[in-house]
Amino acid sequence: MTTRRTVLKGLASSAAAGLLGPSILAKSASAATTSQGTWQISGSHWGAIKALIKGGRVAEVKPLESDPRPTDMIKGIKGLIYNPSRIKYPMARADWLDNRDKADRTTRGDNRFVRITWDEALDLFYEELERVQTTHGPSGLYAGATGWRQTGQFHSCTNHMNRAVGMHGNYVKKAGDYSTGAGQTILPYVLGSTEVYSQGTSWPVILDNSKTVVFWANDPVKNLQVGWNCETHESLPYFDDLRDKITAGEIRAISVDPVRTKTQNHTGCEQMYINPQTDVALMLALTHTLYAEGLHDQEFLDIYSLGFEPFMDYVTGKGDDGIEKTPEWAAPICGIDADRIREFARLLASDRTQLIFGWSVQRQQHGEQPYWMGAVLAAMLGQIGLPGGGISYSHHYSGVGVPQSGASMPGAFPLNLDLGKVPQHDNSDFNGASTVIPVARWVDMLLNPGGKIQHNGHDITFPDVKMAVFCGCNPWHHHQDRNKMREAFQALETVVTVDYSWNATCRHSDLVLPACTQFERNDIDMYGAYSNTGIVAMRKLVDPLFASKTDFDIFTGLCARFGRDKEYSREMNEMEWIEALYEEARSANGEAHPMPPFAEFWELGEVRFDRGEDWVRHAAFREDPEINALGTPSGFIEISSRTIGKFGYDDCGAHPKWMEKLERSHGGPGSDEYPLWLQSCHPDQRLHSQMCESDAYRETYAVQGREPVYISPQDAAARGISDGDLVRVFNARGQLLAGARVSEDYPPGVIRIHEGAWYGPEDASIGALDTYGDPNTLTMDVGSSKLAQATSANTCLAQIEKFEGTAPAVTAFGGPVEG
Amino acid sequence: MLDRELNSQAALFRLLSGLFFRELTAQDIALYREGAAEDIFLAAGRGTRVRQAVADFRTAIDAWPDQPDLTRDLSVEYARLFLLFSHDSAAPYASAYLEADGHLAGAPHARMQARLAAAGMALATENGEPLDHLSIMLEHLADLCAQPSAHAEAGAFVADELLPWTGRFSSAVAKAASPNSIYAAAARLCDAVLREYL
Repeated sequence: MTTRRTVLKGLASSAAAGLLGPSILAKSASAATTSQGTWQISGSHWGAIKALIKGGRVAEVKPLESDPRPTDMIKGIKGLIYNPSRIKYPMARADWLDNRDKADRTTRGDNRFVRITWDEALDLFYEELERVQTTHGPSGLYAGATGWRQTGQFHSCTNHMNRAVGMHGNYVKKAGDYSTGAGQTILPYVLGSTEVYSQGTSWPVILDNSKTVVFWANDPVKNLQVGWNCETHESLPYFDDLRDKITAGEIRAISVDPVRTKTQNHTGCEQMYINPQTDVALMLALTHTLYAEGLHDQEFLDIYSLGFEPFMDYVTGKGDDGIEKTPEWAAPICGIDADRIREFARLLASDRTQLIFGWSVQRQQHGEQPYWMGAVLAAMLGQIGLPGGGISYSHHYSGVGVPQSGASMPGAFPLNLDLGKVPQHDNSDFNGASTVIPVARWVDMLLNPGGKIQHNGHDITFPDVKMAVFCGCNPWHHHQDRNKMREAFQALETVVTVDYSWNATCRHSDLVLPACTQFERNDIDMYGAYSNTGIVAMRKLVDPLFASKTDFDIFTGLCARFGRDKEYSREMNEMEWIEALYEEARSANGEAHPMPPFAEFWELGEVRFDRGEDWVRHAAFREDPEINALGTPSGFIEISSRTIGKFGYDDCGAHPKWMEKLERSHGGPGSDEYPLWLQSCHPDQRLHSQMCESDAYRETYAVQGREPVYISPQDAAARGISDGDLVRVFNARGQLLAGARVSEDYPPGVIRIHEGAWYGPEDASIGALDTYGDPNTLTMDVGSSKLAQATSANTCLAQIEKFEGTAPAVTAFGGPVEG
Repeated sequence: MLDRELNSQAALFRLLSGLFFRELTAQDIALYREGAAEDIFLAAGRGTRVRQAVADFRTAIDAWPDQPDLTRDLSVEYARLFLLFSHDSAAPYASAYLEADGHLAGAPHARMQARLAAAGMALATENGEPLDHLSIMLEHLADLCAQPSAHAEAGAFVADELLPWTGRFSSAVAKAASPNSIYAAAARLCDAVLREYL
């Protein structure tokens, strides 16, 4: 072999040198590494973690020892960091790169990409912002969509995108969100706040005082695995206590749900089966019984509420429809025997009752109504503001119900421009269009520029949007009706997405910028989004992989293109920001909640505060409804709303009503052709679409590599489907492949596919088979009503059949595949 | 341009390293067609397999369509094969073929980190590529080849760290690549050269 080794003298000047290029490796005084590795603390939506850093990589992840109920999803974190689907370099869609706004948009999502440098990418990003602002003005740019982002107060990507893009120019923004769009719009009229993002009565109070707990379309044991900030999981042990009290006969708990939930299985509570989407009919019948039998609290209603009479006229058949909402009327709609409805009403009124609603029930057509009806039912029971009584819309979310410490938490990187500053293009002329769009209607906006809709008392005129920017937000997960989206995206000239993995939003973009994961940057986070249990140091576990950067670096680079990077960053680096956020909280907490100096905190990894005191939601209002008036127009609970009534909407009137849906199973509209109700609630084994790409973890629940579709034994048998079979789920809007999971937890007529399953169509055609199982391939994209214009994802019927033939490969994970 | 003295074999591995680390350009194609790499190819070996692989690579270079957007086409092919993971790609990382969980930067990356640290080497630029990227491993091999005293180490490195997966990588590229792809030929050449090395 040695004989073949000829020293290439003068190679540096030869033509061959031109082929070799610069060396990848260089001499380095690298830091010594230990064979044992080091453990570091960090935080996440899935809880605080400890990671073993060994051999230059995250070798192991485990929950912090103090986590009382770690989620199994911790096992998926390594698969996020080291996923082959990571966006490795800035990438541009080839046709767009060549032709920009003249590019062929029909190939978006199914087109060639090329690598570009960061300088090229940020130049292109800036040039497109500049082109749109100067050519179309602010109505041409949509940059308001936000999602669950990665955790961390400093690197919160939503803030970075809004501040940087807003520094360049004005743009179309969104209102509301997909989780609670209907609820957060209706409840301020009824109870004076959104309620859905509010602290709730402390769990110890509920456990000590409630005699009946009703989980209405709610599965907290499933959903409390994740949190908006670093989740503590402190709320989950309360469900053990609840289970013990149920067993001891001290509390009766009932799950009103078509499906036997994880919470029901954990606590052993009872189930009141109800036909999907008929909750309002049941609640109307309950109020009828309460009223007819004199079980309602008239004194409470007189003192604390307005508008009971017109509502009761509707219930008793004196309203426009002339229908008395008796249990007999509700029974065939709800699938519940009339006598059982009466018994349920009597139970609710018999002693202290805590109603706890989930969010899925308001993600349907007329989703405002069940939330409004819940408040009316609670008001008639007269227990709002009492320990262990009243109503909650948030106890399944981010540790709500864990007593709050009272400590101040670190703030975040600013979302807006600094005081007194204006955008580079300070143009507020939106060409007569609206500046804010209800979030679930933005695809309608793309398809119908200049179109008008009504929204929450206002008229909305859709702007003619040419460019969209997404950052840490995956609308190709949370929006409905994929095939409609595919058509809508062809209206956009430019789509820029900042993310860390090749999800469907990236694939349908023109410019894709690789952000690093939260585990590749330093940050700080609150420990417990509502409990303020502590503060966690999110120490960088490894350097950013590939060519990814932090959102801070990306948007600082963008702002440098128009000379405002120093203003953007305030001339502070990552660690200076983190220290400043910490010290601000430390100063605010003072002696009341002592915190160590930053350096000590950073070394320790966390600081914890004393547990807070128990608290009762709405207690202050109950104590003095005039001094502590609600934020409703009247200050009282509005059983009927003059404000909403004046809007004159045909789909959301002056008081809650039963309204038939466009699609409803169990004999409802459309069920002849598509008999199965598709429920697409929050997943059990990921956070929305986050972690779906974590391959090894996904394999623990996937069926033949596809997302599971849960189905009852009866429906499966009727279709010749066995557990583990590959099935096609379809309706007139789309079709998908999924893996059947036959379960007794599901009743006939109900199937479930968890939202967040990544979209992977077989080809570029509209209507193409989704190869992995994204339920939003099938869901309906209509507003909940003219009030909220929120998502109606849970108004969806489908059919299912065993898949025969050769299944196409899953295309959901990884970069685009040119068709 | 060259920061370390190279012998022909080291130059060959540097050449192969570059093929999988950065997109080929029209200028590169022109240089190959002018025979700029012929001296380097002499180090590839005399075995039938490797000579055929070199010939195939030359053929692929010559046969690649000479279009005005040649560089763009090569960039698209490179991105599709090596940057955009999908069922239609060929990840150039040892972990992609050797780690059961499918994660990148697995144990092969950790071993490379230890090797490079022991050699006092690191990535030359601010790049977070996992260290079990084929190009980084080939560059490390080139460094070993440039040191007469590291002959045995180079052989062990090829046997222990490269050959366990380069054949599968070559097959993956062949399956995913365009017809007559330069990259498919390059992957075959790489695998053949490594096998010849031992």
